[in-house]
Amino acid sequence: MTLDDESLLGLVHAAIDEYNESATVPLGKAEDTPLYGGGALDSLGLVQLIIVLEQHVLDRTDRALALAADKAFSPARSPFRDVASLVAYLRQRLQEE
Amino acid sequence: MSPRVVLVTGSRKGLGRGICEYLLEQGWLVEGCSREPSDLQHPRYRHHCLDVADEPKAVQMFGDIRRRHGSLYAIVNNAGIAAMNHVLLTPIATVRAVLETNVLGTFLMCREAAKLMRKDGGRIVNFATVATPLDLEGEAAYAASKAAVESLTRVMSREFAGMRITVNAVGPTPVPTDLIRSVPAPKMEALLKRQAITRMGELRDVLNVIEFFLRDASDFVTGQTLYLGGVT
Repeated sequence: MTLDDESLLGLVHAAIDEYNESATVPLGKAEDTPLYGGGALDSLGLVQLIIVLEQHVLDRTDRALALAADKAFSPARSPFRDVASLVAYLRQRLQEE
Repeated sequence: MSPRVVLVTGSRKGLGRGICEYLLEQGWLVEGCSREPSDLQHPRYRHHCLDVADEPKAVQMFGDIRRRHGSLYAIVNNAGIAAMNHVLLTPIATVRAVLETNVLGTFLMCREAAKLMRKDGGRIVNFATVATPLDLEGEAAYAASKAAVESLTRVMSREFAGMRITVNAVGPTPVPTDLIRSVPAPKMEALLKRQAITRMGELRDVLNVIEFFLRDASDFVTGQTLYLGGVT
């Protein structure tokens, strides 16, 4: 299943909404809002967001993506550094597999 | 309070079957899995056919559990295989199979279970063995695989503590099941003599420890491997 950018953004927003339900510091959803590496996500928070996003991707596409690449935890190169980079990463991963 | 959900791996026969039946008696919603279908019929039991080391099928099973129940409270990682032979007579394919099921399977089941437990906390119970601390001859691959499970138990207990998930292991002595059916009687007698209490284990011994780990009051107990029979 191919998802357009609006659908991908919807998946990321849904994951952020679910993450925020139990977060002490909620995440913003604007495209340039910093997430990991300068944003509100610490490494444990990043793990939680990745898990939630993987579940939303599975529910929507029936595909089990492992989103935690090594570079996920690099503050400078992480695809989780903001919402826009996360959408781009998701698009790339869904096209790859 | 609605019944809690527990997943028991290797649930078709032996200890796994007994654990399922006990937890059903106690009112749990029980999900079970094994390579082969199960004939266990119960309104609160659902069986999944898969190899615990098969990542795509495991992810599918946990997705199904999440969709039907929303979360998972506990997993009992009972699935395991043994290989009892002298190192010099053990094919590497046998070692690989033991590691696949016992180590990779346990890792995969814990990883996916913790994802479903991360909101409400939970309990992970792994299976170790007295063969590890006793350094049993003839069980090199099996003992080593379970040593890895003990290590996973300790590391995961720390990684998952912030999610209120406890991770512990029970280390049974030999229990009369298929797992040990090929062990010669003299070897078994010698093994039992190395325990403080020199009898075979029974299902109730294992259930007692599992029940202890699953209790609400055991939320301060994690990273532990509890051996039966007085083995240390």
